Amino acid sequence: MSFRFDPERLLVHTKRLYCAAWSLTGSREDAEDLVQETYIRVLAKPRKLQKERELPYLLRVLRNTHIDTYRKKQRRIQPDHVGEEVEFADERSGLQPAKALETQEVFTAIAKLSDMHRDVLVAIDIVGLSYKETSTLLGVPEATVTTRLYRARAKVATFVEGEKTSEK
Amino acid sequence: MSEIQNPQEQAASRRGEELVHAAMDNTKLPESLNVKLREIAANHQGKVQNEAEAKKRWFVLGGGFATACLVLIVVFLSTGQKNPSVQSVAALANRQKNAPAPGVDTTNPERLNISISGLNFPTWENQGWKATGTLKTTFSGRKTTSVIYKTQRGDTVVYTIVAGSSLPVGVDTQTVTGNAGIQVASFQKNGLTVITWKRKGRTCIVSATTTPAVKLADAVRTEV
Repeated sequence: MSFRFDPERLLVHTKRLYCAAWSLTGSREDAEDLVQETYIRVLAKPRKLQKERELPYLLRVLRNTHIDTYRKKQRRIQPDHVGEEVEFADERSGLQPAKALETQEVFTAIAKLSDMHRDVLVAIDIVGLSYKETSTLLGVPEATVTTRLYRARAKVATFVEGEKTSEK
Repeated sequence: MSEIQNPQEQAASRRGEELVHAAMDNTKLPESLNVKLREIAANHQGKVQNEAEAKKRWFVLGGGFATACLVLIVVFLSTGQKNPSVQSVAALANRQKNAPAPGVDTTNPERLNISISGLNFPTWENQGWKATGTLKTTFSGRKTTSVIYKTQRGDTVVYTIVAGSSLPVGVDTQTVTGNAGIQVASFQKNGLTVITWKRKGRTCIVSATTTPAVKLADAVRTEV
């Protein structure tokens, strides 16, 4: 029996993947590229989607693509670039500047987390995986996932509020 | 786990969760990304269709090739391994002897000392003919033995017996009745007059260039 795959079906996950990519790269432009590259990789081997749940698989490919491509570049958003990014983000998203700034700050904060904290937060809060799925994906016990998520969220709040404090 | 119980960190964690969810809610997908992903999806569909068509083409080509091979095999088997017809064996009359004439059977002076499938050949001295040679060969996998005779009028008569089951006779034959009342099938092949009949289930063929079929049918009256 042949496997017929509809690539349009994957597009319902685009927003989650885009936010995850933004969290990994800290840059909206890089996030776009990362999502595109992820889709290309996934579509190159669509049969793997038949065996696994879509979202965990998509996130795994996204992470691997990020590691292969973007980490090598060691491209991290520098603090003095944030203002430019936000202005650009505002033009394209149509958001209020304050909201756009906060959104940018949150994703930048996530990008600054250590790998182990960021991976858990992205998997659960952004992509929407369960604790169990995240545990399987990352290869750590669920209790560890819980702890890391708790601390990752706290650190994000600290980063964002720290940015606001420093701006004042 | 003690740190998780820290009220300040608990509050920060809740605040962090809210911030992340708010950021998710506030994020709008760039239209350029949507467009690009739809292009990727469309390209993938096109590629899949092309691959499917290519596979189909290869399948058709492969099927055609297999059919051609099958036809060749069938043709080979039908032409190469199937029993030869009497008409095709009759062409042996044109071939040269590959052995000298056999001697006369010591137990029967009217028979020659050569046989195939237990059937021997006549001397045909009563016809005024003389055995001049022998031709043993395999025709399409069937062993044949022929004795070549020379008539008084200088014609060459070839008597062939085919080993194994009898061969089919073509449709363009007629029945010839010799003076002794013997009926045989007769036809013309490559300028030869050919008669054929079955002797103990074996196909026997006699061909000649100028000797008429009726005369040949007379000669084989002892061979039926």
